[in-house]
Amino acid sequence: MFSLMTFMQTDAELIAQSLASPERFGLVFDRHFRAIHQFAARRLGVAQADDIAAETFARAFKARRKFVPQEGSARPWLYGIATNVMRMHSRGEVRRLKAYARTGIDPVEDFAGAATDRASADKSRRALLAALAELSRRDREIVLLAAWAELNSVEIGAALGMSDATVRTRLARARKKLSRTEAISPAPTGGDLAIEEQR
Amino acid sequence: MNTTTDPILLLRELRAAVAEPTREAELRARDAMFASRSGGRSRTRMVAAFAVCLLALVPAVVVLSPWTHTQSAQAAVDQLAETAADQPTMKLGPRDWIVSHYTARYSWIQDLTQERLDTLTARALAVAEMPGNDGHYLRRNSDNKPISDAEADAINRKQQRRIDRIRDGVKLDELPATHIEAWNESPYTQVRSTTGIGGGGGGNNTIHYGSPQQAAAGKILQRAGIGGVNANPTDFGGMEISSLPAQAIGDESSVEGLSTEPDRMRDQLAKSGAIVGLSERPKAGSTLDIFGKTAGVVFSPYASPQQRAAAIRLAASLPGVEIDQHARDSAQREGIGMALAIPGGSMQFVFNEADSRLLGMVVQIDDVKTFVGDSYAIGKDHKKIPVLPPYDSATVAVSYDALTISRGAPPCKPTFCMTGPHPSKAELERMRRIAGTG
Repeated sequence: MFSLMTFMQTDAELIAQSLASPERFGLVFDRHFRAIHQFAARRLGVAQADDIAAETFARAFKARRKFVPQEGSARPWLYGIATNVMRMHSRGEVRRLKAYARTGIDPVEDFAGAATDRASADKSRRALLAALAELSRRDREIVLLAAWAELNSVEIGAALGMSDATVRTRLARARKKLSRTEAISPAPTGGDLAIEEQR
Repeated sequence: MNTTTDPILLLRELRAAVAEPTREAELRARDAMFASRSGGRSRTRMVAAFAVCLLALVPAVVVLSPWTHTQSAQAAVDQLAETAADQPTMKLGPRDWIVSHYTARYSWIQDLTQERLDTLTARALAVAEMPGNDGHYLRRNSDNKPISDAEADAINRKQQRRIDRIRDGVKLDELPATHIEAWNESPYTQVRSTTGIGGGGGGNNTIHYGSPQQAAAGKILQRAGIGGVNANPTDFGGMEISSLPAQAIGDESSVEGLSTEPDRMRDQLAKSGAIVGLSERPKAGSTLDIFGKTAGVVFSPYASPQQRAAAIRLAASLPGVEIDQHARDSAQREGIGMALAIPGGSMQFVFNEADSRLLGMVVQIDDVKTFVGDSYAIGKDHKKIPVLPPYDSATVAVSYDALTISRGAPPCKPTFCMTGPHPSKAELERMRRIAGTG
């Protein structure tokens, strides 16, 4: 019941209210913190994710006046900030990906205490991660926002300050590169793969 | 074994391996965020925050000095708890749908003028009565253009298949990705009826969403004032959603294992996540926090009768909670009220004496700046509802009347469910004019 009215409010409305009542931003935090944290954890590990998620929301809170509502949701905006925060860790991420591809051991799973041998048994995944490490930073960000944040091309564009068309082009190009790896056959078109384009 | 070769989907599989953030990390981040705020806090907020801190200290006192009520008040609470224990539990199956309905009523006590009250009421009714709100599938990212019956049938079949998968015991994590994609590809949303009040909504909405995962993840459909799909079927009114697992007070996982002993329940609730939705979020374990959570347990369809009874006893035993045997909600229905001071005002739950059902909640907050945001009607003739100016130093009373839940089919026709007498045509016209929608 407590969130009865609050829930009905869009992020944009809550952020607008937070200008007069900063506590309202706490509800935006509640809605998105876990997702942002998990996105950061998947990319850089849980230990760094704590700081990155905290920094993301601190920046978002300070910059909330600049928020431009996109269908009311703050998701793309927050992922954009998180991506900026993570940029300084770009090299570490590449190292991590390469290590994963080389050893087959997921460093994130290790850190979370849930290591499995699943990854080591999956050659295609290791090849994929190696290819991911070879992508340009920008293309990698687009791919990961599509894969792990489940943003569509419009939202990725909003997050990274790019046009929808540019995102689609880059995503298609990155996908091709990733599919060219040794163990991955070219991705089929349509069906399941329509997600990024269709949303 | 997965056979997909799409790199995006392969990458997506990795995501599940990540551990969730700890509660400590979340609280640290939240504190850091607010610590970064620019400018000083207003005096009101400082007082409110101080009050919250004071409230947080109270539970320690209650152990030494249990809160006592008058004999008759205590008897009323006992009767309420015993009645609750006799009520049947609504046990939900995987295919059940929960529908809750409420009517939000606003009254602006301090700055109340009839004109303002009329405007607020009119906004709700005018939107609800707008033609085109019922049964229309709306295209996403386009104007509100209804689709053909054949298209609607196809969507219904698609939706039914998803529900069938859940019924068949497929775990959410195991549902194939096509479920998400079906949603993403689907340009349609069904809106049966919609009302809009003030800052973002209210009234009765029925939304058919595409993906259980989307709902389970709390992802929401943002469209023209509709808040979207909440993963917690017990936490809000007016939406038809499936009984999916979620982490929130009142949902299945939160009441599972809750003790039927009030003292033990208090300890358990204190350790559970803090409630959201209050402008000053109460500290976990504080009196206000526990008070709110007990109402969630009483309201929860998943709670056992014994748990509901214990929650009622616990709420009444909290320090500072006042019992009013002749409380009335804003619909003027009499019940047993339990009230607690909150920062800047008070919060009262009103229970029905006959069946211990939670009739509604009345929150009064003094000296706050109210906010009334954009609101939209949905439907063929959708219009933006004029924004009311915010009121300074108003007292707001919000009561959720007719807070009911049911299972299966919606309990009323897919039109606006009025709890009171339906207004006449002339009255509606008058209200539409006031609301600026006529």
